[in-house]
Amino acid sequence: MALDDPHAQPSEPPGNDGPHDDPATRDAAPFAGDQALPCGRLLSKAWEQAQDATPTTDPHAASCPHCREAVEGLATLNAATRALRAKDPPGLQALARRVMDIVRAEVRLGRLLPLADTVLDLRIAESAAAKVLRRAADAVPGARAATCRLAPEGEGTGVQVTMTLAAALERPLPDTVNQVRRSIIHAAEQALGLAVTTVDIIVVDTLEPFPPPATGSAAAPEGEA
Amino acid sequence: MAATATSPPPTVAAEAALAVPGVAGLQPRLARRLAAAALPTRPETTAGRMPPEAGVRTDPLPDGSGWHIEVRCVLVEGHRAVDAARNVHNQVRATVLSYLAAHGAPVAVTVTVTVTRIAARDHTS
Repeated sequence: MALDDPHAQPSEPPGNDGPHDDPATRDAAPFAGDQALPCGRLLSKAWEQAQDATPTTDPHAASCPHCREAVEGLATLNAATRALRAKDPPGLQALARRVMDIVRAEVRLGRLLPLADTVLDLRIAESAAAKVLRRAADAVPGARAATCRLAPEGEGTGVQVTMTLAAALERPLPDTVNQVRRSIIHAAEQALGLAVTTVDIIVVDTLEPFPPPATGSAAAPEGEA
Repeated sequence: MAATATSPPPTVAAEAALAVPGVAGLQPRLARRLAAAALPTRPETTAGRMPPEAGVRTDPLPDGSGWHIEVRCVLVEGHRAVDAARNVHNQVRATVLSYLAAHGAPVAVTVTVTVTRIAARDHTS
């Protein structure tokens, strides 16, 4: 509007359409809440020019005290806003961490598997069943379970087991694998009540022979073998 | 509808489940745990501090003829999972049916029992 601006260009007639005659603002679409500076420039335009990385060729922007003052005020506000944004509100990160811990714990339960009851709706979380079956595999000499996945089979209560394990080479692998399979089926039936239909076992690694039991122990050295 | 006007309190089912041998505790449902985590006054809330009924979910049956109850329980090692779950099922169903009958709402009750964890004997909470 440039009504009270001593630096206003004489060619800018005072009036309501002042800003629209300014070439710097003519094609700019003012947004709601935008403010016209005393020099006639829109605040948004002055700010845009100040933010522009390329040096301005606009003599008005370079010399106008109103534009400079407005831009300096906005720059201070901008810096304060960025500082506040970077600062985490107290407890927000802790809340996010708690929520993610809970969600992860829920995901870790795995899928729900039917227990071997054809009448009642009884289920067990995959993670709970896998823990028992892994321990059954570990009980076999020369075997160490790695992963254990379970999946329901068909519409009934049947469950498929897929296990990967590391095995020692002190005896034939088929013997070890068969013993692990029998141990898994036994634990599934006796400890869980899970109707295991198939047990797929994949040996993915070899176990080094165990060191002699007395080495590194805090017990009194009772003699060497 | 009219048959499901009286909702069985989760505490009834929870107490019935906890009374079954081999049940170490009830596992809080995800929604309850998330709600507890968001409480500003108890930011350190853990599953162990939540009431047992947080592990029980009660929903009306789709046809409105009664209630479906889901119980998520943690078992103690050494108890066969299917047997303990079956006992929980029977105990919860019988207890809830008795409660509803005593409150003039004898309706159908179905129960799902989910074993979420099997705790070692020295870590039963």
